[in-house]
Amino acid sequence: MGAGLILMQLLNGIVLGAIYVLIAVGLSVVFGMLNIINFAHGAVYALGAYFAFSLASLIGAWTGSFWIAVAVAPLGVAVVGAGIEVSLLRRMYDVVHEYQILLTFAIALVIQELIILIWGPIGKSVSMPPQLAGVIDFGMFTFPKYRIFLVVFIALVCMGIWLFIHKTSYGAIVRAGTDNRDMVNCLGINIYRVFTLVFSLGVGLAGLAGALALPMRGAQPLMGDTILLLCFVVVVIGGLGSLEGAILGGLIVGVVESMMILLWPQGTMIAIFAAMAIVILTRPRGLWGLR
Amino acid sequence: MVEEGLERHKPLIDREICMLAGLAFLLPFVLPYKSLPAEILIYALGAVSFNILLGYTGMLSFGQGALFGMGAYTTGLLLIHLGWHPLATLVCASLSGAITALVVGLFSIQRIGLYFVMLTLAFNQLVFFIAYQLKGLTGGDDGLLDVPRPNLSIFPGLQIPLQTNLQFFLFIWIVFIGCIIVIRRILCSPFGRVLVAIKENPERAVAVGYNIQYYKLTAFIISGLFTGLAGGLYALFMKMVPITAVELVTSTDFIIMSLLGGLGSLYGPIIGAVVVKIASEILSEIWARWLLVLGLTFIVFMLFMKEGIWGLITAALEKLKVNLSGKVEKS
Amino acid sequence: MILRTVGLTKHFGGLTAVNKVDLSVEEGTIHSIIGPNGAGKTTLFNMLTGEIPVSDGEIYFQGKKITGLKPHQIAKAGIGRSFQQNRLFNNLTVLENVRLAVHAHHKGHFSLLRHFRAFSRPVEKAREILEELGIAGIAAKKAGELPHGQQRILEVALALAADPVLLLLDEPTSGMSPDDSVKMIRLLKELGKRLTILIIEHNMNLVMSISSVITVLHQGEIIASGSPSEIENNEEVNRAYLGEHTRC
Repeated sequence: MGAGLILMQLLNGIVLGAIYVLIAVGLSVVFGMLNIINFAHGAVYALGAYFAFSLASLIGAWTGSFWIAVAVAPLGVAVVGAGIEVSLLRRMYDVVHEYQILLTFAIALVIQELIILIWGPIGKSVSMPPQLAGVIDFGMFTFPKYRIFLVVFIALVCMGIWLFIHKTSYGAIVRAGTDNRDMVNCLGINIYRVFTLVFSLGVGLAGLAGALALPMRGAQPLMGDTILLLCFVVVVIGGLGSLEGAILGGLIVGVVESMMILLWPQGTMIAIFAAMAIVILTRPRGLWGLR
Repeated sequence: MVEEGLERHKPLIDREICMLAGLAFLLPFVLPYKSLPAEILIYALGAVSFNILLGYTGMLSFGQGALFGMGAYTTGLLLIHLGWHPLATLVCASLSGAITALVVGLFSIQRIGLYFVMLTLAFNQLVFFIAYQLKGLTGGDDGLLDVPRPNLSIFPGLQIPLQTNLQFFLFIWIVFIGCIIVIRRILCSPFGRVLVAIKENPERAVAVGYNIQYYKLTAFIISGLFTGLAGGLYALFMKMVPITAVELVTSTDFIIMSLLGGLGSLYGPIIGAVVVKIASEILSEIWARWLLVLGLTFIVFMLFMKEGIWGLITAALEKLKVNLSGKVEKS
Repeated sequence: MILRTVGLTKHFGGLTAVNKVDLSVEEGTIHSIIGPNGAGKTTLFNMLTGEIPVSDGEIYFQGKKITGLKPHQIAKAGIGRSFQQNRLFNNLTVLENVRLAVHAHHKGHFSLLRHFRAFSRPVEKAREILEELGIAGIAAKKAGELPHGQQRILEVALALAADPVLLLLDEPTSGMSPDDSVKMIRLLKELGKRLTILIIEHNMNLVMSISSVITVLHQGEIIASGSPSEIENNEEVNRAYLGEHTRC
């Protein structure tokens, strides 16, 4: 096994991890704030990819079409998310937890079926944006430009989220709400509006991940299924509710998954889900989580 | 049903059970799909077992697929490789379901709430991927093929054939009704009542002196016993074990059936299994996207009819009773 | 002496909620623990019932050490407790609430294959408790649908189910109307004739009228202990309480 191959897989792992991070951040923040596991999070990831696909093909062959798609598709997904929160989830906040989980599960089913209804059961793909087609030569191996861009872009997005949460007044409310929901209520802030914002933000990030993954992995109706389960692992390992944890967990899972392909591909998923169980049993607050 | 605040004593077999047995017996004669009735009862048993956990103890488990799959593989492998008596393989399927449940339960009950849900989910994925990788044993992605369905030899000279749809249905029907009688009794036992207490208020259940961890674990084992049996029956029914039997989708099937049927009673999940299975046969022929209808129905039930179909039925019966008694008084 | 703690201590992080408490409860008394908010009363209670682990010190019940036992084991040993906030089995009937609590201490509570009505002793016992507390008339009502006052009495009924020799009551009259409080006081006096009761209470009326011994807790420590009249005239107690009142 050459050093080049190992390095390349490491980079691939970081790329994969970056996508996990983007999905898991939303999942984690939604958990921290609304206290639900969102089973629809994978389906909205797929929805992001399909929105981006439609936008890109609508605009046509123009070189900037993909960029517009990446900019607009997540907004569309965020709007869908806000609609879901306002019309469905909100009715469930005062019922037993289990019902909320199962509701998001049903929402996922509906979104997936709608995707098949609208776009058909066969996957879609787009060509690489011309600015990022091609590879970079690292000497020992070559690596697609687009993937490098993906990591840098997602890192910037994460920084943006971090600044939003830690440096803005709205972010302070979100943080306070994650720690203590009642306190936010006491401050005279409409907690429901914060819930809507957080949910649509989280869902929008998953949509962004879908749009970004589109040139690389295409769009399939069930693309969210496997990745959702992996993102549960990411969130658990990082610590439910923690932004930094989601980033750390995403990179760990991405890199482990890529490296295991070299070492023992059959054992990859077994190892990952075993790790999830072990973390919940021994350190339920996750590697980063403080609670 | 309530006498001075307590449920009356119910004998093992009463009118309720006879009605259930009678209605279930009608399935093959009213349904146009020949193999469907047996499948319905197998899924109904799985859903009822799931509901012991969610509806009675308040534990949402995503791990039922693992138990079902373990039962199915056990029966399948014993029939293929050792050619055991089918009944013996079913006993082993139940045991393997129970043992898996013991292991999964032992760990999962260490946590509550979302962490509990995530743990059961992780265990289901673990068992799935292990089964998926053990291609030599389980057939992996292709499924465990060519599971025989031998006749039942009761004693030398007496063979009960299980080959036609109706013969097999009768066999499943007997097992199913037997299981429901036992499960119903367990749920009315002192033990079963403690499960309800745990669902209602776990802290109080502890404070009045119950060691709820034992009860939760035993609930898991009982659920595993019957889910494993359902899995074993499924292997006989399909004459193979598809990988989906152990997948998360089996867990969620049971969840959907139970919720639509109603979590509050023993019979809800049975009705849920009947409705979902029949709907999937009929609707999937009409429209390939029937899952959309299922998903939307599911959402409507979650929002407006948390008691499920069984809740609607009992409410309607109550109304009818009131109307009838009103009329009687008038005349 | 039925209950005794030696140097009982609880730290939460850097905070000491209960500090080296030596408490002695004599058999047959109604013993109240009072103190301003945050004095550590509920923390003390939760340690006595095993709900939270102790940081330091020991608890002796009837001469036996019960430190570190699980809540259900302590319940079995003969200590019943009620909660400050009602914790009932809301969707079950009053009788079933109490029957469940009683059956935990009778044969067959883990029986799987016999109908629960096959065990008649717990049912009888549950009915006796309801009679004693005067709530037999609402046996068939769901616990969650009762008015608050009756729920508080059901709380006590559940605590009585284990046939305890020591009853721990956490603010039995909290949130009760004055009328209901009077009923509860009468009830507790009656119960006090046959068992030892340890009460946490804010309601001074109740404490002064029924207690034989009062212990005052302040900032996690015992600052006084004695008969109601002794406590009433204790300088330090008055200061602690007056401070509390001016703050509110």
